[in-house]
Amino acid sequence: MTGLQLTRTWRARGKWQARLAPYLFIMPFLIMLTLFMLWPTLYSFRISVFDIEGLNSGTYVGLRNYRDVLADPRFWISIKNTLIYMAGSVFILSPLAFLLALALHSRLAYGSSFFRLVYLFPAITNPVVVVIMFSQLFQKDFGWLNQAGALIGLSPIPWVESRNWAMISIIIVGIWSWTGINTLFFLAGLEDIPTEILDAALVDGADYVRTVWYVMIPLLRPIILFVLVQAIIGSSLIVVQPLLLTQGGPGDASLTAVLYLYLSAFRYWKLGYAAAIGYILMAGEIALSYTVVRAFQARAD
Amino acid sequence: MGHLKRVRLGHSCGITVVMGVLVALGLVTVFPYLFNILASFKPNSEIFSLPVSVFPKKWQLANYPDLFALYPYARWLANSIIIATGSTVISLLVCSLAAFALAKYKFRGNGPVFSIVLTTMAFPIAMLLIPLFLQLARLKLLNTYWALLLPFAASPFGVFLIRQYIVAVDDALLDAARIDGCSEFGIYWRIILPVIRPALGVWAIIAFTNSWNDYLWPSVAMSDMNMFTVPVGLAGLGGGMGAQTMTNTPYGSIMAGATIAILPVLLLFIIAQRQFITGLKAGAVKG
Repeated sequence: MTGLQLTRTWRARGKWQARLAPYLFIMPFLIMLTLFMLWPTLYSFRISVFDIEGLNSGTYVGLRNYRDVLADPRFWISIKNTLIYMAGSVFILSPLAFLLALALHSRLAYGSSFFRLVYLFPAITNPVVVVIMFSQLFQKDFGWLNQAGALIGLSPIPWVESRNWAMISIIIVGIWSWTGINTLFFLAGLEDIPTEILDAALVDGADYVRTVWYVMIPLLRPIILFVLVQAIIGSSLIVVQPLLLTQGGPGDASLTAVLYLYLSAFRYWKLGYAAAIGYILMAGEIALSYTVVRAFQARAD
Repeated sequence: MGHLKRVRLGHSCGITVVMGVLVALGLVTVFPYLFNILASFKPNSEIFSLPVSVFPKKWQLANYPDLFALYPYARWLANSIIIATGSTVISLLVCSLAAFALAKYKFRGNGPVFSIVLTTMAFPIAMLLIPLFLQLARLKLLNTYWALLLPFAASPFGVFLIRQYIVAVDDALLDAARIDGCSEFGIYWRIILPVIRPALGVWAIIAFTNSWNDYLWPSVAMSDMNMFTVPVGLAGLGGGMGAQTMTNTPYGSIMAGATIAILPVLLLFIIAQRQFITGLKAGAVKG
């Protein structure tokens, strides 16, 4: 074989291989994604137009499940509770995370990287363990929260046992869990601001509060949008904490939207009905995140 | 002079305020863990006695052996370890192969597949519980390891994360290998994988943590007590249902179980902080 021939075979082999290779490489991922995400999403729509109880195949009912869900007062209670939780994430958790990021970023903070690690740990702690820890802290007679309250003369609060406090308890757990990770996002943004810009603002006589308001916040707009969208989407999916801490109770005081889906499917075994809830939630979700992003863009112009 | 003094005073005042906030929030963060870990060394009677104390009056280890005697906790641990490790390995292989194809080949379908990856990245898993449950019930895969190993291993997020690192690999390196007669799979296995080890580390840690912490899908897929993972088992022990004081519930043992459940991730976190923070910053952890 001459050198030229050899190059040709190599080319031919290489070409054939290189053309086929990407399809083979992407195949396992595509097959698994189709089997476990894309197809189930479509299949879920089929389920939602059937009246399925448990594992039997059920009867076709058209869009009746959707009408029933939209007329179900429990569904709207669950939406209301989810919006309350979302408000907690947007108006308490996110600003708190921002303030904490400012504190960690400040030159006055010592041991910043140590605190950063500590604050992050709740985000990667098993949510079931988080609920176990907090149900002890919330416990009415022996829990630490009420014991600490008693020291300053507060009467015991029936945290997870009362209609008024159940949702607040879940918001507290959410703030404890997710403030740290959102602080990390803000901090990453703050660190990207060149120090010259901040120094220039200070030299021009701006005090710290003004620097934050007129310099940092405008520069952080993309991060703020990211954190808010994450907070809105993340909190709209809240389920494990209310499921295990209050089971949606007392009454339906802490029934959230995804929790209602979960209970409808796997407690009441109304799978068609629950699938319809899922589709309605997804539509709401898409509309919501679209609105948030648009609102932000409008403000930027 | 007076001016300087005022600045100094303002400065030390600022330090006090900032450090006060940081320490206070640090304590709030740490306290639940501290309480939980210390309670696992208390006898049950002490957990429910007034006045409450942080440190056990009488240290005891009995809750730990009790946990393993009362519940199939060892089995749950084994299940969790097998599932978290297995799904991490599957996820690393499937995601890195797909990421390689998307990053380094021009082929029909590259664009569409990548937009599928982008749009499914933030997909709510809750939507999938019902169809997956019915699908796997029909395939008789519920209550098997496969039910937890397969569904979320092909993670769009994993592909996205790993792809970013492969894009940065120099094409000349790959062409040189081709000229040396290396097969395409050989390039993946012998060049790409070693070069992107940092990315694999980040994704391994995130995938393991997500699988280890997952509750929702395992609680649906596993109804046989012997197939429970640690979170599913723990949730069933009544420790989460703090509404009534049931002194016959072995809270000490539940606290011991909770302590063991957070240990692997805590250790990983301390050992591999950098990878964790990279993954967390990318927003890859399920909330």
